[in-house]
Amino acid sequence: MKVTKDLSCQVPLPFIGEFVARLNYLSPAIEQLVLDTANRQTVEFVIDDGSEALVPMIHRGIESVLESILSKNREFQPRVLAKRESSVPPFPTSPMEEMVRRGEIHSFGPGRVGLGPMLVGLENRIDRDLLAVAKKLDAAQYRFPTVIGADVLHQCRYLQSFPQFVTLASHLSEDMENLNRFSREVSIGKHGLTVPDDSLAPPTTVLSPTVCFHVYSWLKGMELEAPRCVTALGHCHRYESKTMSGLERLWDFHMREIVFAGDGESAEQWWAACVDLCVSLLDSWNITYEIVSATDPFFVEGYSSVASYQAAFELKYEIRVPLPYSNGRTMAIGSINRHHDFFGKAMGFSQKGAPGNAHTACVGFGMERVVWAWLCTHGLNPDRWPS
Amino acid sequence: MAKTLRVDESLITDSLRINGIPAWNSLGHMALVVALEKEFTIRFAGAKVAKLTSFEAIVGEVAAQLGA
Repeated sequence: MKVTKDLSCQVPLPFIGEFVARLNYLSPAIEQLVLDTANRQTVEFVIDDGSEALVPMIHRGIESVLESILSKNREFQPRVLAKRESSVPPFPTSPMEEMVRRGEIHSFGPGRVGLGPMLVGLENRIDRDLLAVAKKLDAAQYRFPTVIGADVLHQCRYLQSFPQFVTLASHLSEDMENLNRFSREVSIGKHGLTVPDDSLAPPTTVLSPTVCFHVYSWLKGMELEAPRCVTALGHCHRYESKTMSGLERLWDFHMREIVFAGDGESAEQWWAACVDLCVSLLDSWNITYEIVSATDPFFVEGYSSVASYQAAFELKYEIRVPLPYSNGRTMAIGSINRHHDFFGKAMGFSQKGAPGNAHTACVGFGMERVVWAWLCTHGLNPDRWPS
Repeated sequence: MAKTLRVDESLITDSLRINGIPAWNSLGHMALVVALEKEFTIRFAGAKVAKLTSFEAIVGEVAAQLGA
C-alpha cells in the first residue's frame, strides 16, 4: 500500500539526507521511502500488506523525527575549506551496471559487496597514496581486529549516540546442551536465522564501526611521552537500513584512518597539516570535490545539542564529491575530524607535561567510496585513468 | 550557569572556561547556551556559540545583546 504524509513544515535543505535516513528506522515494514525534494514537505512510502495498522504510528514517528531535527537546530553557514572542479567531464551514468556485467562488483546482499580484480587494484593504488600521506604525518602502521569491545563503544558513547549503526557480534553460550539444541533447531527463513531462545551469549563485542576507536582503546589509561600518530586500514560496519546501496552506502566497508593523539596545540597543528595534505592528494586525483563542515548523524540522546556543538566548533569536515548520475546528490568519501579531549577523557589518556586529557584528531577515507568517486570521474577504462 | 550545569555556585568563577569543570563539556555547553537564551530572551547565532567559551565571554556577549 502506498502512503503519503504531508509534513507540518518543510525539512531544512541541509538535513534532507539525514531526515530520510532516520525515517527508515521507524519500522521494518517501511519500503521505498522518499521525500518530495521539490516541496520538502511530503513523504511517500510503501508499507507491507497487512501492516496498515502501523500507519498512524509511523506518521507520528515522522513528525517526531522532524521535530527533533528542528527543535534546537541553529542556522549554520557551512564553511568550505577547499573546492575544486575536475578537468575531465564526469562519467555520465552510474558505473554499477557495467561493473556488475564485467564481474567487478558482486552483491551478496544489502550493503555487502565483493570487488573484482580491477577494482581491488584501484583500491590498493588509492591506499598507497593514503599511506604516503600517513608517512608525511609520521604515522606508524597498525592493524586492528574486526570486532571491538562493546565496553569501549559504551565508554565512547557510540552505543548511546548511534544505535542505528550498531552490529552486535555474539556467539553461542559455552554449554554442550545449548550447542546440541542449536544444532538441532537452527533454521534459516525469509527473515534470517531462527535460533533457540537464550542460546546466544550476551554480546561483549561489536563489529567495529570505525578504525580510530581501536586507537583510543589501546591508549586507555596511558600517559604518552609525546604526541602519537598511527594509521590503519580496517573493516568497518555500519548498518544503514534501506539506504544501503551500491558502493555509495555499505554495511561492511574498508576505511583507512590516520589518527593523532597528543596535547591540544599539537592536535590543532596536526589537523591543519592534515587538511593541506588531503587537498594536495585530492588535487592529484583530479576529482571534483569540496571539503565542507558537517555534523554526524546523532540519532538519539541530545541529538540537536551535540550536532550544534559539532557545527559551532567546526569539529567535523567532510570531503564530498558529486554523483554525476544522480541529479545533484553528493557523497562523503572521507572526513577530517577534531574531537578536542572527548576521547582522551572517555578513555583516560593524557600526554606527559600537557594539561588535562589528551586531544585527538583523525582523518578517514571510505575506500569503496573513493573507488566509486574515481569511476564516476575517470570512467571505467583503466588505460584512460591518470597516472 | 550553576543551575544549568548542576554544580555548586562557588565553581562559577570569573576565570572559568569551557572544560574547566567536568560539567561544562560539549553537552553542558549547549545546555548552557539554550538556558542563557531562555533566561535573557536572546538568540546566539551559530558561529557565536563557539565564542562563548568562558564566563567572561558569556557575560560580554549577553551584555552586548541586551544593549547594556
